[in-house]
Formats: sequence, structure tokens, C-alpha cells
Amino acid sequence: MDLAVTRAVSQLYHGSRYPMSASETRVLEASVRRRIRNGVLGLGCLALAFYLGFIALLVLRSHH
Amino acid sequence: MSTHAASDTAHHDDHHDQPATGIKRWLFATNHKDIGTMYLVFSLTMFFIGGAMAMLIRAELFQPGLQLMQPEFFNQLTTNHALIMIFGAVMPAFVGLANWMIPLQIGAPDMALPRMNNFSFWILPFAFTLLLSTFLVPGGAAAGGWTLYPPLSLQTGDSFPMLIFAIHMMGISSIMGAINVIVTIMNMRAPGMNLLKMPLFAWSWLITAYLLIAVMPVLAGAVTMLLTDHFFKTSFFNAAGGGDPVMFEHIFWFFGHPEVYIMILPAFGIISEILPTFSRKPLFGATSMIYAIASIAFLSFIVWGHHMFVDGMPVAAQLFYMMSTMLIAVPTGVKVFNWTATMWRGSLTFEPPMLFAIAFLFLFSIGGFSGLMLAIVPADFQYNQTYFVVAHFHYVLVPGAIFGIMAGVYYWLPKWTGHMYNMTLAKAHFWLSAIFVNVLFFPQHFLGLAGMPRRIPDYAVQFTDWNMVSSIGGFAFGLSQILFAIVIVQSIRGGKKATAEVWDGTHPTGLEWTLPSPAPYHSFTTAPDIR
Repeated sequence: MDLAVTRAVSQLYHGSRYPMSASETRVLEASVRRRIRNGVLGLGCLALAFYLGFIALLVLRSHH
Repeated sequence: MSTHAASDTAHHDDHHDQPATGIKRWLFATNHKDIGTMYLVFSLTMFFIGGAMAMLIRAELFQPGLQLMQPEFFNQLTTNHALIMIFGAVMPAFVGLANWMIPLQIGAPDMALPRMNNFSFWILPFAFTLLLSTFLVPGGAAAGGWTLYPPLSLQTGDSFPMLIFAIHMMGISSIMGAINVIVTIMNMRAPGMNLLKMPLFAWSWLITAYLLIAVMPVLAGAVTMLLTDHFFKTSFFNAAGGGDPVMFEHIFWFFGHPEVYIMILPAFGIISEILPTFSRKPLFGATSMIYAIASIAFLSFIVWGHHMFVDGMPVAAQLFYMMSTMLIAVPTGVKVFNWTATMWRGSLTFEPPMLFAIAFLFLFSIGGFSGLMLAIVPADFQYNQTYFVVAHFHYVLVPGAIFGIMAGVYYWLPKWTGHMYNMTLAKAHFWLSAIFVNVLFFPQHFLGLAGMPRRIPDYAVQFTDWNMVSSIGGFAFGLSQILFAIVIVQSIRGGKKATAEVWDGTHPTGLEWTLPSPAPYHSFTTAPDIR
């Protein structure tokens, strides 16, 4: 059996001792993944707020 | 800082997870090194396209009178030269360096969002194909200057929506790249690497990324409003409909001034990596360097009005923008002092990265000083719209940002390719660039002080001599960049094997030097232990 598959099957049965995937690349912990996702959402919203905010400011200004 | 496991990891990585072959490797790339390489190749291509435009501009200005082209085409060249160099050459080069080096420097296996990384790169070729194709549509490419000031920019022909769409795509790409850099640095540093242990290049990029997220959407908003003014009869910036063209200038420069720092802060980071290595001393005042970068970034948000002194504004506003602009000299002075102090009594050697770094130090300072001159309101009234301004910002961007990029490429190239490059050729590239960049841009100070206006294809005969000198410098500088491409290609194809440390005897600090050269396709699959 392929080495990578052997490791994956082994992890299925026994769980992983280390945070490794089958190909032995570092798997990020759930908390880190959550922080990354929240960071992306937060920064994306910030960028969107700047984009829409400036347009809204000028729309408001043009009505006064 | 010491590390364990890095060399074990590197050895281990040699045996599996090799890159895909053929076009798929690049189309579907998620590896930070592949994407970094694509960014750098793209940037170099755009550098040569934008450079060819610059050579045409200098050829036209070699003598007074119209030589080679009509004024409309000249204006299209100046506008697109700027857009291509800023958004196509300098910014993608820094993103490429960030992609290659930030995961290596912080001990991360890759960027936090590899697929978004792929997407943010592949947007760029489409954006710039669209931008370049505007030369082919009726009415030609945009010709109102890279600042896109209305009402002039609203008179652009059929290429206008293509230009606006291209700018939106560039902005989206930059924002995605910035988000990726921030979440990578904040979440994927190796255990034990706190923020103050992080290398200066990563620090400079962290701050730059926040700048990008704050200002790129503002540019996008401004050009969206231009689009609605053009096609949907809104009057945000149309005075005839009750709009205010000056408001566009405010919004544009709220983006535009931080944009200048977006193009220079990562170069500060690169120089802060190189000078200590080749001085064989630790960086003087590393913490103050971080505070200086953060201060410059903050100040960049409150100085935009200095681009608009001649528009007319209250004296109090003029004073505020003048003083705040001058204040930037303080943190910049801290940086220049620290770099000089780093070299002071160091065991200096002058390899190509060090040569470019030292040239950066001197020549960027010239750009900084002429910037101080332009910050003085009554002086700016005299200099505005002259070649003095052209000389100023080219000193900041060419021997500043671009020399910074070249220094970085020469510093890390052996780590990427695994081969040392041809030092003689690289030094020849440096000396030709350093000499001719001054022949090209220094006379433009004289032209500006004598009153030659910018953005004109023709000029009065008294400006002929310095224009000829500047054009000769331009052709020589442009041609000497071919050496840069040759050095890179040679290093990719082969050469003397580089060691892990690359610059033997300098003992460079940083995790990237714990990896073999070339850095393995997957690095730091086991987190290094930072102490």
C-alpha cells in the first residue's frame, strides 16, 4: 500500500500523535483555522466598509 | 534565535511532494514559492513593458519639437507608464518577495490562504492585458495622467470602462494579497517567534498590508464614482451637475499618498535585512525601526493635502499638511540613522545586495530631501507641475523602491535557485544602474527649477541640453536592466552551488538561512523551535 495511504488509514484508526496530515505537512489546529477565517472575514469587511463608506460619504455630501 | 528541526525537515522534504509538472504547476499553484516566482516574473515583464514606454517618452523628449509621436500618444504613454510601473511592476514585485520570504522567515509551511493566493495572482495578467489592450481601442488608452483627475479623465474614449475594470481587478488582487499576508503573519508564526523576534521584512509587510486594506478600497470607490459619472450621469465630480472635481483629488490622494509608502516600506524591510548581514553586525535599534515604520504608516494618512496646495485651501490647512509632511522626516531620519549606525565600524563587504542597499540609502535620501522641499507651501507653488516633481518621485521610486527590490532579489536569489549568480555581471548591473539613474533623473531637478512643465511632449529650446543628458541616461539605464534579466536566468539555469547560509561568513540571521539552497518545495512542515 502507498505510504501516504498507510499513514492516513493509521490515523483513522488510532488518531494522530502529531498534528500531521497523511503527507506529513503541518495541519493547522482548529483554533488557528478559526482565527484565520475570522481574520479574513474581519479584514474583508473592513475593506468593504472603506469602499462603500467613501461612496456613501460622497452621496450624502452631494445631497447637502 | 536558534532553531531545531529545520534541517531535518528540509532533508525529509526532499523525498516527496514534488511539484506538479507542466502548465498545471503554475495554473493551479498553491505553493507560496511557485506563486512568489510567478509574481516576480510577472513584475519583471511589466518592468520591461513600462520601461519600454519610458524609453519612448525619453526618445520624444530628446530634442524640442515633436519627433516620434503625436501629443495624444505621448500622454497615453506617460499615463500607462505610471500605471504599469506602480501596479504592475513595483507592487507585484513586493508581493512576490512577500510570498517567497514571509513563510520562510516566520517558519510557516505556506501562506494561510493558498488558493486565494493563486486567485490574487491570476487576476493580474487579465487586468494588465485589459489595460494594455486599451491602446488598441478607438480613442486610444487613457491619457489624463495616472491620477485620473476629472473632468479630463472623463473625456477618455472607449477605453475608459476597460481602464476602470482593470484598476478594480488590480485593487482586488492587492487586497486579497494583503489579507493573506496579515493572517499568515498573525496566525502562522513558528512557536516561540513573538512579534518582536520577527524579521524586519515581515514587519514592514505587516504594516504595508494594513495600509493596502485601508486605501485600495478608497481608490476603488473613487474610480467606481468616475464610472457612474461617465455612464450613469451622476455628478460626483462633475461641476456642471453640482459635483466637485476637487473632491476626487482629496479621495485620490487619500489613497495616493499611503500608496507611496506601500511602495517603499517593504524596501525599508529589505534594506534592514541586508545591511546587518554585510556589515556583520546586528541591526542597530531594531525595535525603533519597527516603531519608525509604524509612525510613517500612520502619518501617511494625514498628509495627502500636500499634493493639492495649488488647488487652493485655507492657510490653516496648508500649515497642517506642511507640518505633518515634514514630521515624516523624523521617523525616516531614525531609519537612516539606524542603517548608518549598523554599518558603522562593521566588517563591510560589497556584494551586489549590499551595493544596491548602500545606493538606496544615498539616493532615496535625495528623493526624501526634495520631498521636504516640496512640502514647503510657497516653494511648492513654484515647483508644482514642473520636472522637479518628476525628479523627486522618480528618486523615491527608482533608486528607492526598485533598487530595494533588486537588492532583495540579489540577496535571496541563491536561496531560491540554489545557485550563486555571476557576481561580476551583477556588479556591472549595479554600477551601470547607479550611474545612469543619476544621469537620468538628476538633471530633471535643474529642468524643473528652470520651469520646464511636466507631461509635455515638446518644450522650449533652453531646456534642450539637460533633456538630452536625461534621455541618454534613460536609454543607458534601460538597457543595463537587460543584465539583471541575464543574471537571473543564468542563476536559474545553473552555476556554483549555494550553501544554506549563501553568504558564507556573514552569519545572516533569520530562519530562511537554516534551510538548504534551494529552499525545498515544502519547507517547515515541522514547526521550527525558536529560542
